[in-house]
Amino acid sequence: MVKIRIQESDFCIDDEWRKCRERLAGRGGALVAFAGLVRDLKDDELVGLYLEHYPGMTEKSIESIVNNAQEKWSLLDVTVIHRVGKLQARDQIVLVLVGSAHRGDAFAACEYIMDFLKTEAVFWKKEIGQSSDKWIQSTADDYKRRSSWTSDRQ
Amino acid sequence: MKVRVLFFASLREEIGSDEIYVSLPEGSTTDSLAAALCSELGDRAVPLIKGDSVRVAVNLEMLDGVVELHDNDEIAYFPQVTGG
Repeated sequence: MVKIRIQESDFCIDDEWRKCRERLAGRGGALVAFAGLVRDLKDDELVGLYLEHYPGMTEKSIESIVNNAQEKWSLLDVTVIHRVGKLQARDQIVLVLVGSAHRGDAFAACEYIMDFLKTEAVFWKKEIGQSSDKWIQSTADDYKRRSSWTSDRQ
Repeated sequence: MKVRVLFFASLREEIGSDEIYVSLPEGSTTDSLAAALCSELGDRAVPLIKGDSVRVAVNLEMLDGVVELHDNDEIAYFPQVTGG
């Protein structure tokens, strides 16, 4: 099963973990979770982040990433939850949960999905400052990590 | 025909609108829509609508080249996505 949710509210990793375990129902031998958090903002002037998305297209872009992962690895269950709207330092921002029969597939697919989420998923991020706001770009490291999947990593 | 045009992120802020409806003659393309938008929104919109960094999606599919539009199509203009 593939579940993709975009929401403003926080998510509970324990609930998602339990539901995924129930769906795996003895078939799964591995469950890998990645949670992304908002780091402490390095600049005192910054007060938070704002994430914008394109309803419909954002979900579609994530579905496409998950479909590609399913073609590469044998996956039983994938959950992606991404938050949008205003976020503050230390908030949870994204959850990727991958269930598989074996740990190799679950580890690799979780990392792959997250690396492509960082560059391909339809989101825009803005730093919210006390006096001004600034739209931000994906980093060179984000693109490097994504590109590594198209070379020799499997 | 009438199409729905959406703007996101920095484009939405610079254009000052998140959604407009545009009437176009039958057979119009994404290029004719861009010209109509520049005409309707004025000179300030030209670099935003026709700039190299703008991305365009038609009915939730990224546009590659030029396509013919149809009544009720949804066309979105936005900057490069910055991912999750």
